[in-house]
Amino acid sequence: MNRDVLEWKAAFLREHIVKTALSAGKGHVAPALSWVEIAVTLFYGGFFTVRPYDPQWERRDRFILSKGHGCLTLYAVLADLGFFDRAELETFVRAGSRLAGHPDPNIPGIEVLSGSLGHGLGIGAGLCLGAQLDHSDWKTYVLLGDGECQEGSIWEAAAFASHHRLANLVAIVDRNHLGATDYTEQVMRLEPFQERWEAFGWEVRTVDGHSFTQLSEAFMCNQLDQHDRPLVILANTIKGKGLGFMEGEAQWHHRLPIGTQADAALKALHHREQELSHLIQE
Amino acid sequence: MKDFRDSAFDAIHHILKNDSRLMVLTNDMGAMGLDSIRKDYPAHVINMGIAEQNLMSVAAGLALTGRVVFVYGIASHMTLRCLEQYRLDACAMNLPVILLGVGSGLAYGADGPTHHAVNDMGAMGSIPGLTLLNPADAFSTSAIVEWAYLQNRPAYIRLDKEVHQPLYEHGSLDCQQGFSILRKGADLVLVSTGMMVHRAIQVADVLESEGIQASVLDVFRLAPFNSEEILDAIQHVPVMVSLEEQAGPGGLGSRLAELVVDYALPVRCHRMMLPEQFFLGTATRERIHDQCGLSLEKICQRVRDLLENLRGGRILSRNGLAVSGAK
Repeated sequence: MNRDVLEWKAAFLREHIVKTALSAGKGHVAPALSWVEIAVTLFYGGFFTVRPYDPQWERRDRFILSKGHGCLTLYAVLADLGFFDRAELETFVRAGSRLAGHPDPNIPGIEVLSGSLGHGLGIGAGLCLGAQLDHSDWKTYVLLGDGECQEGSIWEAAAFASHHRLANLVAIVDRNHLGATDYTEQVMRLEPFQERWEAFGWEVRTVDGHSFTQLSEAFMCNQLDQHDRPLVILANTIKGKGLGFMEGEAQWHHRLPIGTQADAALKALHHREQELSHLIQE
Repeated sequence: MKDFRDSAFDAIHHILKNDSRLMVLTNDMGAMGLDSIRKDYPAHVINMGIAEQNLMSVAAGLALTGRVVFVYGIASHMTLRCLEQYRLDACAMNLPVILLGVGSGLAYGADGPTHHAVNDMGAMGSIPGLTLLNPADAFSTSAIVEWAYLQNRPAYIRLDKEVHQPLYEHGSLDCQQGFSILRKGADLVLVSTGMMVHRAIQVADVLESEGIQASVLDVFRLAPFNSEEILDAIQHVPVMVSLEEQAGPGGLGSRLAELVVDYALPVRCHRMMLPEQFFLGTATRERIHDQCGLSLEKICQRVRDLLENLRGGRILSRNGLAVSGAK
């Protein structure tokens, strides 16, 4: 897909993320908005192989949303790809819906249960080890939150994946610099973040997490079969990206706009989506 | 005689001959039986290092690729150390990750409370869908390992460190039933699990010489608890005594007490277990059992007192003794 189409997809997803959460009156919007370009690049940029009509296809790539609270983005992607009907997004967190506030494998396209932080990288490492033992060529992509990297289990998994040369494992850190209530560097600093991953033996790419070009280049380096270690993409992002009042502000982790602010937000996102839609049609 | 651990690994070794999906992971623990498997199937044994949280997540990931994963380590470290990873990554997705926890109860007595597994049955037994198994001898261990493998779902198998006299012969264990009636007697029923089953048999022997006939049940599957059939086995006996090397809620005594309440059984249920405390210092199994009333002599005396007080129609306290001042 060309860049304009990717831009439009991102706008399209942002509108659906916010619309879904506002309709439900619940949801982690800011943590979802920060990884929209990561999701668009991975799922629409030609890097991820999957069959929506056959979710359990053995040779599919696996995606683990380790920061499970960012699921609004993933739900919007899966619905758009055809894993389930787009109308189902309207059931998000309503009684009886499959689409809970954190994802589980009863949802087509979701590989594992997540929501408790620090689990996804280890599960991904296990999947990759299994694939290696089977001589399979599918890859596993794991999206981590940066606050999540305060969990010790992430570093156990990082050491394990490096030791076993799991080159079929790609971790992406949504480095939005915010945890649930405060800045990561204020709470328990992660820097020097890149050096930490390097010291654990990973191939590291630090990119602008809202740049399709930079994200594509980073994903591309895993497509070449010349490396012998796992790849981590440290994607510098802005939490709440796309809604000015929310961007980089700690209090929006699990808070929704209301009243005129909500109306204005939806209107602006819809306008952006329409604008880009017209542009690509021209 | 084989110990529990070697029996477990012999069973796994045997399964591996026919099923290449099987993997064994360990947190840097060794065993002769494991070495033997590693020699024949090097790609199927992985030392995961001392990182139990990651171990459980990796085990779940491997299980997602169609493998059955046995995880071997010290019981206390295999359970409470990484409870969240095992609960969510393996159990919530119903994956065949089977824990082999060596050192159940106070088997590592002198090594201190870091190595005691005396609350694990309650903690693990509270996980939905987990099969909790607690064999009492080497034969039942291998039968239980084979059965757990065939179930293809999460299971926790507790392994004692000591060598115990065999209780079973080949083919005599019914894992589907989950318990065995080892002896029948009309005066009381001793219900036990794991290594304490041997103590229950000793108690029954002593009581028999005094004219008291005791049934002995070995409940080797704590979860799912076979309430209905255990109910059939205990309901015609007026007194039930549970014996376990476990503390707190969720153990055998807890489950039996729930049974008594849930089915309104007219049976006197008396639970003998460890107190809820950390056993600091050189707490050998023998010493703690004696201190906590779980030695052969003390159990026998408590049962005699219990029966005596019941015959006298006295109101009994939790420890089976008559309440002071009450008739």
